[in-house]
Amino acid sequence: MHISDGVLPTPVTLAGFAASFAIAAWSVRKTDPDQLPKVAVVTSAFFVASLIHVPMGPTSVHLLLPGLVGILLGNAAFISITLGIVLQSFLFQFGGITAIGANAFMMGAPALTAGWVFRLLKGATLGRHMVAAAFAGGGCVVLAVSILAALLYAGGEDFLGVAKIAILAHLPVIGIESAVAAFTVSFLYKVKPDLLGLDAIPPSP
Amino acid sequence: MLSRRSLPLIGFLVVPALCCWMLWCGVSVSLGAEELSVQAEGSGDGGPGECRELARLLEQQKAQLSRELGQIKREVALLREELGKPGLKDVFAGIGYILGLAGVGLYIHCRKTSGSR
Repeated sequence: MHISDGVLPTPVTLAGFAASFAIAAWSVRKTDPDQLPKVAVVTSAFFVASLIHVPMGPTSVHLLLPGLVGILLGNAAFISITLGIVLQSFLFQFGGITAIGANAFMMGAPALTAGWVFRLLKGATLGRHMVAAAFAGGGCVVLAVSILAALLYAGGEDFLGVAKIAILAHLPVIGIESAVAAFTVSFLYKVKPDLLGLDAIPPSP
Repeated sequence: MLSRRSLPLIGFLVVPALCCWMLWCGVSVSLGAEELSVQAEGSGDGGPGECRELARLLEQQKAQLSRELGQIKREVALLREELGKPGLKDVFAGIGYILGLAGVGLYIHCRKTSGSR
């Protein structure tokens, strides 16, 4: 799910760059420097995850992981996603160079939202954490697909048609993202809860 | 004196002999060529059947070549696709960039905090 060069009209491209730059600057200011190693590791995971392809009929879609990035990094998720998108664009030729702004916004905004949603929904128990993670991880992909359809609509495509096709193509990804997010959060909850913003290790039942 | 007088005589004898020899050589060469052409003609029937046979063989060869060319084209396309895919090198390059940038960020942070102390 990357927008290529020449798909979007110039105003949308410029608006994408402006929005991404503004949110990235805000995200950098919000990032706790002590969290930088964690940000780097999660960014690396996001960057490499795009290489994991899920075969799906005649085509294949790849893992996205923005939900997990948002859950783990919170407000720092946007700068992480932006860096990952830039490197994917330059090194993997995923998406166009001129569309970096739009791509970063398309992935970063849902990641931020996923982080907020996860913090809202997570309770004190492992079950609540897993449900919240699954919801944030799956919903993040839906949101990203909606933004993709909206951006393409600005480029003159049919909104509902694109949205339908993109959602259909990403149905397995939504499921896999939910599962990966829930599994990762449950693992971290047990093994390293401070990564999830939990102070004390919860008592094991 | 005798030898000076005999010079034209020698020339009279030698020149026709040379001419005869050259003519004979020419004849033999042309004879050889004729033999060759006869042989070439003799190798085939020279009829329309032979032509059709040759045309059929050529068509067969052409079909085989185009089949092999198509195979090679498919392989080249596959190879190009394979080359376009990001490899291990790109993955490690990206991770290196990310860790390096995180390092730069931490360095700036440390300079700031140590300067404020």
